[in-house]
Amino acid sequence: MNTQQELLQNSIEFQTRIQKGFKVMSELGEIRVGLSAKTPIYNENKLVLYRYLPLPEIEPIGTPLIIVYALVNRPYIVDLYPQRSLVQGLLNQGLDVYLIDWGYPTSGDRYLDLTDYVDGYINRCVDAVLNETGCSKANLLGICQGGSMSLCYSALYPEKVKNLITMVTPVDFHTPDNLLSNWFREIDVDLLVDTMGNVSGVLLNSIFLSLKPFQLGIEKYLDFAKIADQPEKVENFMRMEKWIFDSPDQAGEMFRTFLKTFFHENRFVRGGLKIQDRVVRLRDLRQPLLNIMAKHDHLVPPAASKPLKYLAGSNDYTELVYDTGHIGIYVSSKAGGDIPIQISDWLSSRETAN
Amino acid sequence: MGHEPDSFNICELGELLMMFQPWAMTDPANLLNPWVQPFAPKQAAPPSPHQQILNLFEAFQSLQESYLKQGSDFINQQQIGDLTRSFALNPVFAAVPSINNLMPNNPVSNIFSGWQTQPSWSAQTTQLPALGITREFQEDQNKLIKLHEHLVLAFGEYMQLFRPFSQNVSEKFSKILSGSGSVQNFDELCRKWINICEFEFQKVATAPEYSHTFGKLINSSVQLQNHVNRMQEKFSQLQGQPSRSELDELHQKNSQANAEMKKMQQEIEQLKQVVEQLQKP
Repeated sequence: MNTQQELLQNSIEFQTRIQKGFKVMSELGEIRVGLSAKTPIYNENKLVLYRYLPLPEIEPIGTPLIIVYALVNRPYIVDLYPQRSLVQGLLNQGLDVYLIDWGYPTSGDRYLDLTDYVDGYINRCVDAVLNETGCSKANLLGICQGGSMSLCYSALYPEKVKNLITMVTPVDFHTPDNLLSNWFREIDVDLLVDTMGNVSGVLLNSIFLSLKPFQLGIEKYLDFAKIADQPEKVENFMRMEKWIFDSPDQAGEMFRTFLKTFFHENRFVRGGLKIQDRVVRLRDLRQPLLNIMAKHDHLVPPAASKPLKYLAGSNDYTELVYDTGHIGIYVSSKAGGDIPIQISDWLSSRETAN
Repeated sequence: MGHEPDSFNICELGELLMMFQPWAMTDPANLLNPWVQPFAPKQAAPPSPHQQILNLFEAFQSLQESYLKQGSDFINQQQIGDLTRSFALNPVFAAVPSINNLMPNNPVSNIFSGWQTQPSWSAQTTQLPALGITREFQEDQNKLIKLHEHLVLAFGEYMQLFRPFSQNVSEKFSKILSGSGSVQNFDELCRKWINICEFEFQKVATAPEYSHTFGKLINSSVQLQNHVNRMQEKFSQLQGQPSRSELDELHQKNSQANAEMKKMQQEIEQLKQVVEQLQKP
């Protein structure tokens, strides 16, 4: 260790930075997120389907792209702040971008299940976009749990999905490195849902955080000290803080069916997945597939996503692995930079195909 | 009086570390005091360097213990929170009002105070036969006590898994503190502590017995919650209020009606298309 004088001086500097940070925080006002201009084109129950307004200087071209986000946390993570917005990046590439915002389920929604979400909500949103644009097919970008639902949907409705992009999407839920899955498999989900009704988003969020409790719960506040005197960075820190703790409850039956079907029974891999009495097989996926993963993803390790290559029936499969984590893939510099470019290039090269 | 950096002493680094307890940040006084206090003028002579290091290590241990306590508080909080579904969590694992504050008239509320420790009278109580006009209530109470006991045992098993965690973190960190030249600054010191904790936590959490014990703890907790829900149903009936299962039943009927309506709408659309096709010359 250095001399005590140095250590003390260092800690005083640390305190000073934190104090500046608090001052900056107190002057921020309301933390605004999801700043890209958008307009609702369809709503149903708590769900709102938005269309992002194309940038003035860029005319949207091609097949519409619908972002299907997870039910856990809020979808504005894809547009958290302008400099690192996946949505902005996609708009910059001239894509016509739509987003399904699931809203906050209440006790009246506890009986919504996987069928309601995939065969109901997603299907009607796709129809709404097709009606809006006059296109016969849409591109889907499914993120995390939204990716799993998009896989189901694309297998059931191949006639409506031109290309499918999955981002940090679990396919094989039983890989040894999937800590979350190991934990969930020991939970009596019937008892949980029968008891709780809707499953508390706070409870789930806390479980997610407890996967890496010291890094996610403490270290990030240490990191904050480094940027505490930079208002723009403090604001972005607070945006992330807002998002992380913005956790909707999960519709009870959906939680039950999702946990049983995927975490407990691993139905994508083992087969036997049914939605509204229709069998869902990944080998029925014939669309071009782009599978985007994060190398350091602690929630959906790449090993859980990669089996899509072997399970899907598509002979046009592309894989991208980014050197980031589960959250970083939405908000790192790559989110506003390379990822949308890669998505756009991949889609463009398949635009003329049927 | 101005700041006197020279009089700052290392044992107060502990207070800095305690700042990284987001759950303690809800009170503005808690928020600012640790940062202001180190700048206050000091009357006493600073402790010896050896004592300062020991103080610092104690502060780290304190933080570590408080983090573990946070875990147990969180589980307790889930008991409370899921019972009421109205608690505020800010920003990570904030403290919540006690069950007694939330539901002052709830006859089962006392069972939650100090639930981590098994009441000494519980074993005898559950052996007593349920008799008389309150027989059903007694049975409910006995079951509640038994489920509470299961939860206490599950919690004990869970905490048992963390024994090596605590010990290993202490050993590793004291090696860092006693080593010379291994830590360059305060930030690095904190990060070393975090990395040690995370590494040791992962060793515990990735073991198969952790998943099993974690599941057992959650399931025990939910079983207790389930029984409390049932008791609350009875209280609701006694008070002439709609019970949760009655509301759930309505929600379910509503959900089924919605699904049927959507299906009929689809059929109507399909029929319209058929009619349009038929009307074409």
